[in-house]
Amino acid sequence: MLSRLHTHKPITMEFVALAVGVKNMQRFTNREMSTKQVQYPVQMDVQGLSRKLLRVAGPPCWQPCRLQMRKAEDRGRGRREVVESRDGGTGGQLTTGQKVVEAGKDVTYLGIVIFGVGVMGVLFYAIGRELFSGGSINGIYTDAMNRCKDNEEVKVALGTPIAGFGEETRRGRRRHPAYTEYTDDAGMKHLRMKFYLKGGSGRRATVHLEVTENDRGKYDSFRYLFVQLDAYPHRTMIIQDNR
Amino acid sequence: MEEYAREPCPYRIVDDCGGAFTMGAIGGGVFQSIKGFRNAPAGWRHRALGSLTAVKMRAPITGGNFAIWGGLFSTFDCGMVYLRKKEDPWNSIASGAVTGGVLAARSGWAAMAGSAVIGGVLLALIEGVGILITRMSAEQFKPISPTEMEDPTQLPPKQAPPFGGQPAYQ
Repeated sequence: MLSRLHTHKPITMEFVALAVGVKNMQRFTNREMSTKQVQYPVQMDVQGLSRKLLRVAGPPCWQPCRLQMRKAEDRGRGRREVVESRDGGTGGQLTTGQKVVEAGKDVTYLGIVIFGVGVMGVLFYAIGRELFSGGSINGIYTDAMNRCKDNEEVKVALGTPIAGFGEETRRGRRRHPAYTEYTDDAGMKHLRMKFYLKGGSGRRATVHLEVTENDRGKYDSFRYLFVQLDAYPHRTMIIQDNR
Repeated sequence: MEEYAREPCPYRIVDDCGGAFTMGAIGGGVFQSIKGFRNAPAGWRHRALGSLTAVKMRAPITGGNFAIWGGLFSTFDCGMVYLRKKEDPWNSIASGAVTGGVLAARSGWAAMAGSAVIGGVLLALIEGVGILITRMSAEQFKPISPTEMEDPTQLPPKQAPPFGGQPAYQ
């Protein structure tokens, strides 16, 4: 390296970047190229240049630095100045303060990762329970809709095929039925739900239902389930009434 | 009433396409302005110019990519609604997977499968958030006392219990 300096050959960006072990050389060269400022004066000292590099391109990462150091050692005397510019002459050894900083960073990143995994876990659990468990909102909705679709009276009143959907949101989504839960005087949990049907004839109807929990705390039986036409005469078709 | 009666489905595709474009353009604009600022040479003038150039060049591309995703997704979603005659979280998960797969179609079957899985998982996560939000809002509107939960009037009155709880013979 020094010999290269002594011969007054122009220092290319790649050369400097290799010497300092810049982590993101692509970014650095791109930036310099874009401003057409590639020609640095030959006399510019490596220290100053590398300090500038450090400022612009960020600190070098540890792994490639060690590699670069080994390479520099092979090359001979020129390494010292370059190494000094990188980590303050400690030769890759971390001081206690730096170790503390590194440990703190590690702990912070670990915390973030654990938090992220936890959030993912909660979401996957929620969606899994919703989609694969019979006692969930979606399970009740599916069950009730199948009962309605199989009911002859409803089929005749609405016309086949019967489509079902929940409350419409502002963005035109109708995936979630409206529901509310309450606990009765005996301490038993009930869930009431409402969703909509549309038959092949274009007629619409609203389904009302209530489920009660069993001894294991799972919703499994309809207390009532009926379909009411939306238009006049608002006929009610009771599919189940277990009150 | 007219608004209520209209089916959301075919029109929703256009809505989603535009919404996704807006989202992508705004998000990409923020991202690219920061990236352009950081990658520009030193000096406020250079940085501002670099930021502006990056936004001008890249933000519409991000918006377009988002719009393609949103439009295809919504199209498949509506297709699912039409085919399954039911609207539930499965629709959006399946259409997310199909969209991911279709958009990776030029890269071969393996890439398609990978993208499909990613799309499905992503949409499943979004659905999970939606379900949690719905549950929370349902919790919020929980009736305070069970006495206000009368049985619906559409149902015939409950059979009155006989006197004394015993059937009266003779």
